[in-house]
Amino acid sequence: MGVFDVVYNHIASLSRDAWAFMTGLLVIVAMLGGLYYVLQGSAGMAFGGSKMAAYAIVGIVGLVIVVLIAFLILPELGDVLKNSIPAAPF
Amino acid sequence: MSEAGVVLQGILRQGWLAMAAFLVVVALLGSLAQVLKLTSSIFLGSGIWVSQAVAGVFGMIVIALFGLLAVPVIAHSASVAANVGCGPVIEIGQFSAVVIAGIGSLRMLKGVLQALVSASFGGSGGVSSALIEIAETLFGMLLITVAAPVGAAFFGAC
Repeated sequence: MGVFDVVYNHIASLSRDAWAFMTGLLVIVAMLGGLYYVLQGSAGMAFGGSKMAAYAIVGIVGLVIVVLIAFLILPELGDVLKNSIPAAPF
Repeated sequence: MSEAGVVLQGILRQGWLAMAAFLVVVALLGSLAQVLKLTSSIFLGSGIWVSQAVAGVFGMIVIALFGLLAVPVIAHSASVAANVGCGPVIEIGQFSAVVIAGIGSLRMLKGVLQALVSASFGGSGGVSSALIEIAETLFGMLLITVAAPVGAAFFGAC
C-alpha cells in the first residue's frame, strides 16, 4: 500500500482490538442470555409450565446458533471479502 | 506531464488498495456489531431488533460486495469511454483522463465506504446519499472527459 502503510497498520491494529473486545462482549452476552434461559426453563419445569420450558430451550438453541454464526461464518466472510479486493481500475 | 501522471496514478492506486482494505475491515466490524445486537435482542426477546440486525448483516454484505465487485467495473467502463482529445492537447487529455479516472474511482469507493459505515450504525440515509454521490461521480467523469476534445475543437486545435 506504499505511502498508506503506516495509516493502514494503525487502523488495522485498532480494528483487531475492537474485534477482540466485541467477540468477548458477545460471549458474555450469550452466556448471560443462556443463564437467563436456563433459569426460565428451570422455573417452568418446577411450576409445570411447559410453554416456559419450551421457550427457554428454543432461546438457548437460538443463542448458540447466533454465536456460531458470528464465530464461524464472519471470519470466512472476511476471507472472501479479502480475496475479492480488486486491483485499481485505472 | 506523463511522468507526473504516472506518479499521481501510483499514489491513487495505493490509496485505492488502502481504501478497499478499510472497506473489508469496516464490513467485518459492522457485521460483528450487528450480530452482537442480534444476540442481545434474542436475550431481551425483542423481535424487531432481531429482524433489524439480520437485515443489517445482509445489507452490509451486499454493500461490501457491490463496492468490491461492481465499482471497479463501473470505473473501468467510465475510463474506457474517455476521449483524450486530439492534436496538441492530446497530452493534456491523457493526463487529465488518468487523474480523473483515479479520483473518480476513489470517490466512488469512498461513497461505498460511507454507505457501509452508515449501515453498520443501522442508518439508511447515509446509504442513499452515498449511492447518489456515486452516480454524480460517474456522470462527472463522463462529462469532464468530454471537455478536453470539445475545448480543442472549439479553439480549432483539431
